[in-house]
Amino acid sequence: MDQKSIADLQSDDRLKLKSLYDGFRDAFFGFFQSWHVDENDLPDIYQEAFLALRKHAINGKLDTVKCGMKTYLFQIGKYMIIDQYKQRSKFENIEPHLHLAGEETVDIVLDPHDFLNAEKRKLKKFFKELDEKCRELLTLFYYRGLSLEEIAPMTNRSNANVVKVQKHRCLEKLRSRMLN
Amino acid sequence: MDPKVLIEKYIEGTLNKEEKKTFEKLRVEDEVFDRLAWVHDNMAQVTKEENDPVRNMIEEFESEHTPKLQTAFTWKKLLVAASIFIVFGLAVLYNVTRPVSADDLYESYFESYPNVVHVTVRGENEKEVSIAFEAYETDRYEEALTRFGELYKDRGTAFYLFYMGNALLELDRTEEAIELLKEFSTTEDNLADKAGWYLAMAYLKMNDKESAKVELKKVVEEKAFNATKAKELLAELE
Repeated sequence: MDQKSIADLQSDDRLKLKSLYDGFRDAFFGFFQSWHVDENDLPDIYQEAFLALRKHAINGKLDTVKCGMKTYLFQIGKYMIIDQYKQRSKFENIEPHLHLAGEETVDIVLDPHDFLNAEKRKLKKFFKELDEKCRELLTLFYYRGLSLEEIAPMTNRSNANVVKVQKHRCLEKLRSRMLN
Repeated sequence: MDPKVLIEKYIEGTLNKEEKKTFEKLRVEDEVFDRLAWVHDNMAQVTKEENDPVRNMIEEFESEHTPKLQTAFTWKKLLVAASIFIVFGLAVLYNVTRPVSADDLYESYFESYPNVVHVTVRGENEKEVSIAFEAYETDRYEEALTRFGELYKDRGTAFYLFYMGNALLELDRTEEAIELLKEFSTTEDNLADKAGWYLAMAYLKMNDKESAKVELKKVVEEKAFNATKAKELLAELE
């Protein structure tokens, strides 16, 4: 795989990343539209696939891969789409067409903790829509890993128990939106 | 044991053997309980991703690909708003008290929803969808309406109802638009949270300020699409 593209992908340089993101986008959309993937889903899936590709670049997984970056990205996309639609048989027969002639195919298995599937994207969307207090509390607890005791004074709450009750309320809000 | 306490213990990681059994059982039998545990299980990942600057950058890249219509419409809206402002300003200047009519408000706030459904290169089999959205994007709403109607009949995808509603609003067929938007708002479609705003627009167009207010309040409460604008508009209607 082209080493310069891998280096660009590993960077957090806006222009380099944008050039790669835009560079593969049309082909990715065109290809998966011919798979009858719901067009509403494609922008999300492409973003997830691109982010997963970047993670693989950072972890050094791309260094020894023989196929091109585009093929690899498409394989990630394919994996995600199959995961989302859970209709493996419908998609399997497309596999031979998924790489350019003369290239080696790669089998890609993604760790579910490495990307957001449709359900988790929905959760992320609802999280974004929560009021600021809930977002702050949940971020401190889950992302920063702080204890309820530590969170209480930071958020002007009298004690850990108050934080616990409010955290539960915030989770409940997300739960009810997920079930609606 | 109270499921709430059970969940808390699960989050704290302090379930004993017996409680763990009850917990597993509830996850299978009680959908609400299971979903709450699921939310907890995924919060760490979701909040981590939410705070990833590269992810936010990628989301920005993607948003730049959404149809150009949005910018054009912003200018159009700005011009309409500016002209209303001038008219209103002149009225004040000549000491004429002329309240802003529902119609004026409709004109300054309404812009049909851009095509966010059908993007970039399409396969040959998606030709009908392309033609329909092309008609919509180039203001040929009669044609778009017919085509969306056919696509909805064939495929049953809910968002066609939404775009039909928008086309009907553009064609001043407001009552029909209301019917479709109401129907659309009950679907699970990704765009369904946008129905409230357009219903409010439709009521405004019909000069039914009370129904418009009801819809706008819902939009604000649910923080749905255009909640900020809805708040602004509500203030103008009060």
